[in-house]
Amino acid sequence: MEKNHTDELQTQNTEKNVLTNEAVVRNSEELQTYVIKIENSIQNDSERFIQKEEEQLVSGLKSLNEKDETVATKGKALIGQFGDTIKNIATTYQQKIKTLFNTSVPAVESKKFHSGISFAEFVAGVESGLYKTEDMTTDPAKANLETEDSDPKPKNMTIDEQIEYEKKQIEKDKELLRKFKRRHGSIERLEQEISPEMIKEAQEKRLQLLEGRGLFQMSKEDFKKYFGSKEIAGTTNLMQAPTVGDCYLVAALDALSGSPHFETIVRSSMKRLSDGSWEVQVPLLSEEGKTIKIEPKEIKSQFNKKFMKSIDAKGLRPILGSLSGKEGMKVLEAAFIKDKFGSVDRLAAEGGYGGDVLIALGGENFLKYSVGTSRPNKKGTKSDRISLNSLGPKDMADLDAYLEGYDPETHIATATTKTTTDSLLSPIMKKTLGMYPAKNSLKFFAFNHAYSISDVDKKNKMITMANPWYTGIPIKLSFDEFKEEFGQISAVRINNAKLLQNMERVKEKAEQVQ
Amino acid sequence: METQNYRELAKKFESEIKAAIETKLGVSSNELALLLEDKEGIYLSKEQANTLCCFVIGQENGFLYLVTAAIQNNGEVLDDFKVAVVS
Repeated sequence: MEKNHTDELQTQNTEKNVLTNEAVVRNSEELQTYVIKIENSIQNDSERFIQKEEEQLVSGLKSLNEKDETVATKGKALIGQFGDTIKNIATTYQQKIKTLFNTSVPAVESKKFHSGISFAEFVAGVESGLYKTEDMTTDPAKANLETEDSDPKPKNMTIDEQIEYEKKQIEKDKELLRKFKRRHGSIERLEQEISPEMIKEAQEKRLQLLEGRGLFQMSKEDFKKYFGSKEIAGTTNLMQAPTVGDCYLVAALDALSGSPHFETIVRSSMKRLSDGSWEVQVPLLSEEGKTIKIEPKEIKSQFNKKFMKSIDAKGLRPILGSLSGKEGMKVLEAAFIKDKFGSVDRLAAEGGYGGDVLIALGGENFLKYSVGTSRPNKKGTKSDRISLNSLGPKDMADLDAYLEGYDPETHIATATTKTTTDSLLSPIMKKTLGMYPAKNSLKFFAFNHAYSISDVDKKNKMITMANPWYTGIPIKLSFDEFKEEFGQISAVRINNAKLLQNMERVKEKAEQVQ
Repeated sequence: METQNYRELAKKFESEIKAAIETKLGVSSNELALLLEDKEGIYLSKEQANTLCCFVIGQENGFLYLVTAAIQNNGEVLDDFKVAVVS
């Protein structure tokens, strides 16, 4: 009997140790990773700050006396001094962070934040006010984590009670994670509860539900004819006109066409008339939307009115093409331009953001999301878009939460590459090739170019993208590669509540007209 | 089971259905609405026998939830609620 009891106690102790050790190891690793991240961030920030100050000083000195080299030399010495000061501050700050984290280890052990909440998310939670910074102290009186029942750990617990206590703490932490994610617009999916077959069944039902509510102006056959079908390879591919700089628009349309809601939205808001012209409700499905009429000639290539009249790149191209793809997609491109600029002026439509296109087309059915980087260029005249890796901890946590919560069912996204790289050859590559090589692979990316995101594999941390130059070739990147090579995400999330509401309104309005 | 019957069953267990989402995803029940008026808003699963499926809309956050529940006691009771975000 005694032996059995001892064995049982040993087993329980082992279980307890495994639980505790796993949690401590996991959190220690997170802490270390986060310290490194913070250090890099401080380093980048201070260097950026120094660079900015340097540019301002040099610019100021130049305006005083461009030829006075003595002043310039003094100025440079000042910059050096100033830079050292910033670096000293950064070092002190790093030390403070380390001290803070070291003292917070007991808090980790007492399961104040672990089991799924990454440290970056936790810190973002602190910054956004979800958690209080006192949580990071070891003083239970100051432990002020935002839980309704943050019980202090009882003393003299049995092994069973301790394991039970740990399990409860883990559940509480998971709930905190959910709260955090909800606040950031993403939600933990629970597919493990419901089989993939049943989810698929629900997706089909949802389409039927929407069809039941809406008033479709276009038959399913026409939709396939004018927009293609994902089931038939190649029919939905798009190709940006090489003479027009509207990559953001083509990327947005490609991303939109990949959404499972695309068919419903299009069939409810677009109509092809017998003369070949189209009527498009913009924003799509909106009660307040305008009806934009698109004539067949408006989706064809057009003569550039500025040809030979402007000395810049705008005057060098005689013809401005439309995108290559199915007729319906060309109409959507034209409708966006006409709605925004009053006519299908492809020159005016050059340059923009994919998210803005999606908001213009989707209206209140979509909720906007964007995250990006920016730093003044060396001349101080414009901002450079640099790697997403340079984001601060809060934005990075937000981006990680976005990628980890990405769901093609809900999200429609585009991303834009950097406008410059750290390579000395960057200006030359930009002028000659217009492209730069990826830092850690053999891929090449166009500078300042929008791509569509078609899928995110959260398990393997991979993103599938397409280049608007030809969307038929998927580009697969790891999360790390993506963050390195891209400088911005410009995206939307579907607001189902509004979508359903608007479907109902469209139907009521049509019934009133009849 | 007749369409009308399982619709009534979903109505009867409306608070439990909402509570499943509230418990598992932390969305307040006040923000949730069952799509009881839509023909396809409540249905019996063909994939899994004796399982009722309900669409629930998050009116504030815009998410569409699927709640499934096992039909028990000859169609009188729902239990074993499961939740997923469909979009």
